[in-house]
Amino acid sequence: MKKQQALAARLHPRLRNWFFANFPGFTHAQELCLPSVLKRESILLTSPTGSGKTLAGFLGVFDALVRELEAGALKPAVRCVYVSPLRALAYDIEKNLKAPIAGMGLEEELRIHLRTGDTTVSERTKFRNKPSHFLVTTPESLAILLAQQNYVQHLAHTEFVIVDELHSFAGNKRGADLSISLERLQMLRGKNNLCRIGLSATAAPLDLLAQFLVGKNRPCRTAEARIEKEQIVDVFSPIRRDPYPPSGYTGARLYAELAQLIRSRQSVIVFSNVRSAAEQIGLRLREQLPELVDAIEIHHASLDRSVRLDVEDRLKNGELRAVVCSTSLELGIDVGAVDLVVMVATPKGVSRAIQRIGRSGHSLNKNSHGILVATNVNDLVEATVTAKLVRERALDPIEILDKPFDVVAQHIVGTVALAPASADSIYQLITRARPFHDLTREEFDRLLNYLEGGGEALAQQYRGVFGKISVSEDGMVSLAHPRVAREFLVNIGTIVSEGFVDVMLKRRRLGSVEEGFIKGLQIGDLFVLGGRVVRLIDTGVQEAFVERADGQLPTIPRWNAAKMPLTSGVARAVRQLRADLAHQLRQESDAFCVDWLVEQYQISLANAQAMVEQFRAQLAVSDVPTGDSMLIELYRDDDFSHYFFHALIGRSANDALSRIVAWRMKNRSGGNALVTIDDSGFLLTLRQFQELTLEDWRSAKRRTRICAWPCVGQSW
Amino acid sequence: MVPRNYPGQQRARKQMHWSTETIFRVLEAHEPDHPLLEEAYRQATQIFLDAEEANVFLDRVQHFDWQLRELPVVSPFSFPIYASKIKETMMLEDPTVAVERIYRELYARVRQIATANDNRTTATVR
Repeated sequence: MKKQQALAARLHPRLRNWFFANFPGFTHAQELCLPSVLKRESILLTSPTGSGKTLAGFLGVFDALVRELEAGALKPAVRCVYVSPLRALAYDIEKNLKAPIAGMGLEEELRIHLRTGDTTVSERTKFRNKPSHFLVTTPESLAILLAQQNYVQHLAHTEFVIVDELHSFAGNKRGADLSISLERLQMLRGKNNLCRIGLSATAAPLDLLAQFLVGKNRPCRTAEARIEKEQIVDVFSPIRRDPYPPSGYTGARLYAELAQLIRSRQSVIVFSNVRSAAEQIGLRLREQLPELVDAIEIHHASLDRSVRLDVEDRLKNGELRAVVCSTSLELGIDVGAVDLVVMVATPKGVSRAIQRIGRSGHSLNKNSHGILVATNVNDLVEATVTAKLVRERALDPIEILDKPFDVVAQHIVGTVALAPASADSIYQLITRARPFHDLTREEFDRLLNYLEGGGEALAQQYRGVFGKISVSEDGMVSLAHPRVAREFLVNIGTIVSEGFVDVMLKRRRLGSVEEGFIKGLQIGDLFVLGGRVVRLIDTGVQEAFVERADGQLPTIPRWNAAKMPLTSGVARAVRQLRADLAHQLRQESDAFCVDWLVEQYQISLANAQAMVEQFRAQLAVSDVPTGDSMLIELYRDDDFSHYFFHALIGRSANDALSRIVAWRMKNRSGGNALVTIDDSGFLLTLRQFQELTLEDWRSAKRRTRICAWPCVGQSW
Repeated sequence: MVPRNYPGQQRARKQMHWSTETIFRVLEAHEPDHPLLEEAYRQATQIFLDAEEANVFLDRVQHFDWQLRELPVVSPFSFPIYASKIKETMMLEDPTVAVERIYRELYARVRQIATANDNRTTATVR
């Protein structure tokens, strides 16, 4: 309590009064974060969701601005940049910025500018003429602002940067791009310190994430807010004698039990990993719960933004009993009164599971509750170890994407779009950002050379046409032509769009689906979008026109949604369980093994029995593949030979592995192989004349290193 | 790194794809260490394929005990991937129905084999 009072005393009275009129006291996250920001130290704050994290970042900033205002020293310039991975920022701003500002009666004095791809021209002009103190934006829009002189002058006084959901940026290009943008903001500050505040879900290792936030060799405090509520995680146990029957592989029987769960709760989020599954599950749940048809909604990234926002609002207001989403509700808005999170496909990683479970129990004093549902007994093992790892809080380590060149190229052009700069200074700036700390000068120079005119192969004819920059004798880099700046601004960003077609119901845009999906349809075909069955009646250039076809049997869209690979931590734990259980089964009775599983993994008796039965069956017909054996199973049907390779290393690694093996196979016996991959191995389907012996397969993997990529690239 | 937009117009995906492919082929033949190529390979190995994990596995697997087992059925542990293959290639039948049917058939076979094994073990013990 003393600590709280001492901290409160350091706030400007105006801010303090507003705060305590609205909150009983500081949350742990706020207690940790505020002192650092008051001292202008960079800080990485990790905490589970719903612990006043965003406001924790802003409190210290408010204090600074209110004091400046009082002293008459507040400049008409951006003082704080807030970056979020999501475009749907309006709600956060309402809660974390507008409410405090209005509460302190400073609406006139402290201005906010929301800048995304959707910001209107008049708003932009307004900001250009009269800058706001808070800039709320996305990494892409920030990069665009940083390349234009009219905006950059407003950004030169930025003292605070808040990066929300920092963990979501670490492993991808958006984050790599943001890390250089932060360096450019720092450069605008000159010698003055830029106070960087990173807000993140629980993540590890913290030091690496902190470096990602502040760059090489700069100090950054790290603080972990404690869990304010307990997380409960269970593996769903079907209430029946034969829980995973042979007639129920695809899990259709689960809908009745899911419906029961929804009936018994106030509000439930169901995660399904992929969009098509979200549509499928949503449709079935509505069938199961006719009385709740209007209280069950679908949410995924292919739905129109207005549809999604509407669903989010209704969820927040407690009007919905269930929302079925792909992964789309993992981040972002406070989802309100959700009291249960159901994961129908395994979340493929521990951090992801923890993040999802944290979406429930947002209201005060409520625990988070997550249930992992295995649709069949194969999924059960993964669900079981995931639950155990969640209880142990064995987070998947974050990884930082290593120096993507396209991001470097964009920032070179973006930097010189403002004013010519020396190659040395650009190189130094870029390599201060953590993802680029090992970018060599040689690599950088080759990129400069490429930007000058397409590299050696293309240089001679094309410098005039394709050259973006020119480098002078003394190493000064400048734009090749003013038009390059305009072209740059419309091409900025690292998100590759897939090519979507709008789905129109009369004049209303329902959402979008992949181009390829629509091309495979014929007029009259039925598919599901947003949980409703629609019939395709016409296609346009960028649109597909549909009409409602309620109650009819659909052809579910099979979106080519990228499947998430299993993290190495979960893969390791599955290998461990397999090895341990196989070992037990060879020595002990089934009853003993069931008890052992129940005790080790805290699963229900029914689940443990199902697993033991499955392992027994596997041992009867084959062997249990573990971490120190290479099991290949061959099964022949009438036409084909199926080779099953058991390698529990995640689907992306199996993707790589299967390509090599298939390529070698092709060299040896000719013809193509059909390759199927998943997290626990891959399958090569061959014609019978292509069959190979064990020694052949062994040598297909021997002495192979995946560095000869060009040959793999050509063969596929 | 191939621009998609020009002020006032957007290039069609097909057109982009075509230009990208041409550039890829030209560079591969004439300038294999071009940054565009290097970035393409980096993305292939880091983002789309987990080459690092696959390499670790390849190193380890040399010391493993290798088994090639010929089975009269698809084993329970292999069924999920077999089901994915069915889903990807099934044309005439509803894939969900097909998966259910094949699972039922295979499961019955597996049960049969397991029971036969049990009987044999019991016989030897006697």
